[in-house]
Amino acid sequence: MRSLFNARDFAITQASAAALLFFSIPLLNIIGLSNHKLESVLHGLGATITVIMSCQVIHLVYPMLRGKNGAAAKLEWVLWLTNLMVLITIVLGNWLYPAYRGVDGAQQWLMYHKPEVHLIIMEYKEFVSLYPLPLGIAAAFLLRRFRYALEPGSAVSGIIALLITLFWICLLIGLAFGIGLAKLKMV
Amino acid sequence: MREDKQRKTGEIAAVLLSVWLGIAAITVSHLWSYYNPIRANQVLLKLGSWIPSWWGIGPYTGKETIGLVVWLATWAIFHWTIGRKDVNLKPWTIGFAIAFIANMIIIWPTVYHSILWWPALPNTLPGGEG
Repeated sequence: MRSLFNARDFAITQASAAALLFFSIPLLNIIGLSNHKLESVLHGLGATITVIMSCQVIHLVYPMLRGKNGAAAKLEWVLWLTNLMVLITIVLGNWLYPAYRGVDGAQQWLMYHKPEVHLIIMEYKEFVSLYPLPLGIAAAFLLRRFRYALEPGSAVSGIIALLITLFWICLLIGLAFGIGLAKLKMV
Repeated sequence: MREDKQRKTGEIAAVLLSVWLGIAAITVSHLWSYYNPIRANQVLLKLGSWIPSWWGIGPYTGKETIGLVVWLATWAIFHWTIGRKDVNLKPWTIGFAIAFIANMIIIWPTVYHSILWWPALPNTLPGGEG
């Protein structure tokens, strides 16, 4: 008997299960202890969706680097969508910020009990999480303008891959530190 | 997809430079806000006051605004200046990578707090500030 499932079936099953369980990290806070549930769950959901999409983006970089037909067009399309999610998540983060920073908020609690968490983790994360917006838009812009020059080993494709790799690293810093902050002190 | 006209590699340099300048502008405005909060935060709050809830978010709105404006304004300027010439991409790529990492190190709070100072903590001073 031949296998009932092909490679695509397994990949889609794995990706769907990963995405659903990953979304449960922010969604579990609906029954959690947050005082600002709507803002914090939406910001967390935005961040997890963005990071999952950015993983697809970084996987699409490699066929683009090898010069596969149609890879650059697909990469650009997914990258623009991810850039939109980055922007939405930044806006949601701004929406959550007054609750974090307000009287009796998480920042005040941390400054009295564990100042390092605010002074190091939050003070880093709030800036680094902004970097993916210019990085992603820059990469998508270059993918469009220099599509004709994207041969394997070309300088342009290397620069696009560099921008997307930094984009992904900064997004993951935002997510890991954000989950860490929420674990240590929920807003 | 073939283009009739070759694009100038200066456009790529303009993109790299403007992205880095936007990021560096956030870092500089944050360090300014830490170094001289009385002066800086007044300016940053005013610049950020187009963002809803700016009064609750604080000087961070001004830092975001400065980063956004510097990135987009320098991109426009460099796109129409450097972007009209061909440049050697190697030094631009290496320069961008080094400058990006340098910024990531400087904005790591233990680094700049060690160089400047650590803030007074609320429970280490009698009636201390937050």
